[in-house]
Amino acid sequence: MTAEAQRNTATATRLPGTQAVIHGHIDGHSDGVVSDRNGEGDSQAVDKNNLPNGVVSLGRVGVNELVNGVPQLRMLSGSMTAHEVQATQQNLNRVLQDNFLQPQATTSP
Amino acid sequence: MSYFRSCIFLCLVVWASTACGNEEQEPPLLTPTMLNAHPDQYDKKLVRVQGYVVVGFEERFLFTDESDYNARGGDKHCISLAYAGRLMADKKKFNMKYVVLEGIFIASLAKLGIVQLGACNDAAINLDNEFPMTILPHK
Repeated sequence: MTAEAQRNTATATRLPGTQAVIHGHIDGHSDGVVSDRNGEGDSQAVDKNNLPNGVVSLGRVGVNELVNGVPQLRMLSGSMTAHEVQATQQNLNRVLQDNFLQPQATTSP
Repeated sequence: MSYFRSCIFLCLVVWASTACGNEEQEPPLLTPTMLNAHPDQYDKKLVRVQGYVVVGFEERFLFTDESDYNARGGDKHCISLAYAGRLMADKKKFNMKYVVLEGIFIASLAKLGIVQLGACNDAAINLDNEFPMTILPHK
């Protein structure tokens, strides 16, 4: 993925056969592996593009993915701090509720 | 002399029709909600959009209203900012403000093979590089 320099987002073009994407959180400018606290953040690629989304921060590597319909962040290398665990869990609960468990609109008979 | 007058008249007609044509080409002022209601109608077209800008860490949002952002109002009231360089360059000026923007509307980033983190919606606007972005009074 490419990023707007120092601008805290990432964009990629999906090439044929793409299996996953990966991006980094800028050290010193981000909260470790913790994603955006308001929008879908790193779960965006999982939800909208059906792609696992790797994240690199402070030499560690994690991957945002969907497991049995539930978004999660799994560390591939290194581990999260207690703060990152708590903040990421809050994020994922919110994303799950807002984007994966949205009730479908129904019309009364 | 009458030939000269005819030429002037013809020039005026051509100028007037051109001016009228330009007025028709000016994009209507829309909101993210209006764009999301008819995405195919505006896909890949120049649009002018009024909305509440939120730019930050993995946030490239344009909501119809601030309340939609606060309530996390869902996809239908928000479009993503496909390239927010101009907004981010002066983030303090534009963030959390109502702004009129102009650019090309993209009904689906995913269909174009684009993965964008920090998008609030698969629909987006690719901002025009020249259009002067106008900040509106807060509602």
